[in-house]
Amino acid sequence: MKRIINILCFGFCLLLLETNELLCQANEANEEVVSNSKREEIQRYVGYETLLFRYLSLPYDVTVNINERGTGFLDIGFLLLMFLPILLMVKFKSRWWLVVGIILASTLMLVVSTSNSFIYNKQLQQVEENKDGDAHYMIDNSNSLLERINRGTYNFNNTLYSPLKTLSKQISGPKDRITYPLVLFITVLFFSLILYLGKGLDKAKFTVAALFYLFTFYWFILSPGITWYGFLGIGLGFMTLLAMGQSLDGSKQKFEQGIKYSLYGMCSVWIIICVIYRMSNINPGSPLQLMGKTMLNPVYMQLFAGDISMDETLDSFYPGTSQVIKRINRDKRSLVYRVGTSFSYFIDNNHERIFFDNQLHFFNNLTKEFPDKRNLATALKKSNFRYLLIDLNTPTLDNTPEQSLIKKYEKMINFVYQNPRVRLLATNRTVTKDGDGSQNTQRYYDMFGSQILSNGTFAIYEIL
Amino acid sequence: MKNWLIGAFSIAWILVLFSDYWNKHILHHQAFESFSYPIFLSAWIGITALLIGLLQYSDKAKTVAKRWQAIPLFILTCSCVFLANCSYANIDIDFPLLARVFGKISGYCLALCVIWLAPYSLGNFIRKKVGFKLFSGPSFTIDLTIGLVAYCFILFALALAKLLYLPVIVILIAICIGINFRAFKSWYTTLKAPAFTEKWHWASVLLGSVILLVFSMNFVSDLSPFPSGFDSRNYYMNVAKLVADSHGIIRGYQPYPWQLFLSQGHLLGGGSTLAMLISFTAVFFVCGGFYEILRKILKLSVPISLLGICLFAVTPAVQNHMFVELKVDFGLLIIQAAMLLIILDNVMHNQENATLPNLKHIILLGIITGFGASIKMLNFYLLFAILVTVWTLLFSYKGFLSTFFLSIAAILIAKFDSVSGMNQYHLSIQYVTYGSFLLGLGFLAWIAIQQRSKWMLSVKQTTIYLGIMMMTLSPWIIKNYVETKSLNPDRLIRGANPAPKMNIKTIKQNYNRE
Repeated sequence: MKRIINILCFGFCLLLLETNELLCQANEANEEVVSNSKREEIQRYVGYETLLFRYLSLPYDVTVNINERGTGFLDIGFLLLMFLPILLMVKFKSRWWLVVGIILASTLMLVVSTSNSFIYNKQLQQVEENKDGDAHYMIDNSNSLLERINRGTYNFNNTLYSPLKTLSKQISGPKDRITYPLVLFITVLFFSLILYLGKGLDKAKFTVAALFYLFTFYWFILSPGITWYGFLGIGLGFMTLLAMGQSLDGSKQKFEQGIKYSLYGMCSVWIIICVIYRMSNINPGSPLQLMGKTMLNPVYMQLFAGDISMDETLDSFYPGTSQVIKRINRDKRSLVYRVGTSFSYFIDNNHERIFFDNQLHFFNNLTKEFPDKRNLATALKKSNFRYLLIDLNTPTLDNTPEQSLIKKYEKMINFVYQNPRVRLLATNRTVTKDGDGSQNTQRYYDMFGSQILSNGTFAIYEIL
Repeated sequence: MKNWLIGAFSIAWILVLFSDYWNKHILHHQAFESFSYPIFLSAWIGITALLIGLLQYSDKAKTVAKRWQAIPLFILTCSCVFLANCSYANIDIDFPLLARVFGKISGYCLALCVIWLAPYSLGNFIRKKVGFKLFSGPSFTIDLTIGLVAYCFILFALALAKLLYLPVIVILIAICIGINFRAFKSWYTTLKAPAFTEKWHWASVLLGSVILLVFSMNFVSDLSPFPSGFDSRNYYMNVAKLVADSHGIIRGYQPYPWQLFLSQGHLLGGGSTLAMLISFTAVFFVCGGFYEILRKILKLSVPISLLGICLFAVTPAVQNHMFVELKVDFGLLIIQAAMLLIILDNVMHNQENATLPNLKHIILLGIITGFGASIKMLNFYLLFAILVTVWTLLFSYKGFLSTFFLSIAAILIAKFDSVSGMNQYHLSIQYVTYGSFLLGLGFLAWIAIQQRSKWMLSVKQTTIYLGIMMMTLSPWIIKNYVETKSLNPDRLIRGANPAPKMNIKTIKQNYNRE
């Protein structure tokens, strides 16, 4: 206990030193954040709120998938965050200060996270943002029980968030001096607790818990929010959880048995959710008639069964590309300018031929040097660029408040629009050239028309 | 009173968290609403229940079920998964189709067994020759890991010599399996052993059934001509394909030993499909490694250990890596499981004194840590975690504080935190760097003064460990140096940029050229 007090005093001194710096340098924290590729590409996983809250809310954000909503590639489930605090409290309930501390820490994390989050309104099929705790969610009879709990929680948390918001504006912002020292201090404090509480525990179990904690910490500061970098942490987390759960086996207390069965019960719920989710394999944007029926990809199955050829397979995913890819591969020396897409795989020697510009940073600079699109095409051609691959979903990656990537993408689209020096080879965007888009109107695979019927995912251009 | 407080908070916490999670995951709602496999799932549950019933009431069932039957059972399950989806893919089911599907899946399974047997056999042979063993007994994961390290080094040497061709790979596999011929008998005995013991539990069968179903679905999903995921296509599986097409090392990229292993899929004539299946099947051995930790180290029961495996395997983020984004993370996890086994085995054996007792353990740990770092640099997270944990076990708070702060200083000086770009937001980064460095050194000096001899031994062991780790990583560092001619640490780790060299100045010069 003395050691913990020493560490607390030490940390307090550190914070005092930092606070002095903070007050003197308060204006620096609000200086403009420069938009760049990393901000667009990587930081979407950690969020863009006040820096301090980005870290404090991260465990909850990663569990519930607030910052980046994907089709499951970020989904690690709720079990770890749900039961680690509960099992810790049960295991060490003789220490009241620990129980209260866990409750307060969990509540703080919940308040900070939900106040910079959103609720999905299933009836209206839209997202209702909650920026900085500003939203108030109506609850009526059309809401299910879970929805009422969810909305009620958000409303309650928003009222608790108000003083935290004021405090955060004083000491933090887009940049600050306090977050790093505070995160380190909290890490040292929590690990000291683990050391203190781990006395007398089996050393191997303690080591697993320590490794889980430390590995998660390094993931936290080095790859915040990118869940697949922390797979080992997920494995270690489940090990820790189940080891703590099994330790309740010998308990005769009904309360502890209840907690144990809750754990196993929620594990079963999680397994059922995941198996059904995998079997249905829902892909957003799939046609309604295929919803829930794509456990396996039907086109791959047809190829495996010998019903279709490889070219037909490729064309079914990417209309017109089988011949275009063959053409690109015949033209062995030409370079390919790539903005997203995943066609690299099909292009021979792609490591020597493909120039990547996924965040359009280089292209943005090119447009400044060559404002005229025809000259820009000529410049690319003279540097041996013959093909241009564009990912039409590029704008959807942009979660930055300043929408920098969207602006750069618009420049790219402007470059290919009515440019006699480029020719569209393939796309899966469908448009109408005339007519009203009704069933009888002719549809085309093209980039521009009188009406865009479906945005598509790719476009391949030849630079003439 | 405390029970009431904990109970009330627990209920509230579970409800709040679950309600928020459920609200954010619309795709889960749609998965339930549009679920289209009730017959298949019912049949699966029925068969599982039947098996449990047979095991419960029939002694003969327990003796008939052998371990080797897992492979034909897996092939059968995969075939059933394929057939269950035929109607949605507009494929008519007839006998020729059944034969084709069963035959192809069996062919791939056989190829995978041989491909994975080679490094396991090699590792088992090397381990016995070197005389290394865990205190808790033989470990499949350790043998496989040792084998993978050696095997990938051989592949690296072959790749440098541009010798990655089908006959060479076949000979390599044959040698690796044949060299350990004395172990064939024990493997045969192991495979012939009964699958269920007297102490079997119904939950084990149920969880095993779920794991089998999940693996089968994802295996069949990988019977595709090319990977689906963005990163797979653009980088991970792409590098494997480029290596195979070039029959050797390709210029640029971060170290790619795992892609050398995956390239066998192309070289053995299985194309992208076999390469993807090699990547996928690594998860079997990850689960095996985790299972060893759960059973041997944490001493959890079989059902709970299988529950741990099941929870990991069904997690959507993990499943995504089984059939969408086929990367190198499962390969890395095998290595990390082995690292954990070595550390935990030593801790378990030396409850009083957590030092690694002999040089072999340190050298092996260093080698596999370096190999793991060459697969993916984020193995450094585990490296730091291990160092801090071991020093904590040795020196308690002082050990923790010294290594923790030194690791922070190392991370910030080497600019590891620049990868995420978050470092630009932390205005106190310089103070934290110097402060951490000084604190780390200070606590280290404190330990040195108080426990000099133990400190000296620990520093020596840590230095040997890190040195061996760097030596293992060095072939790739040297390769990157040769290509970049730069000693910049970032370049040495990331390698040359393989893309065409292009900048605005070059484009302007070319434009102005006649």
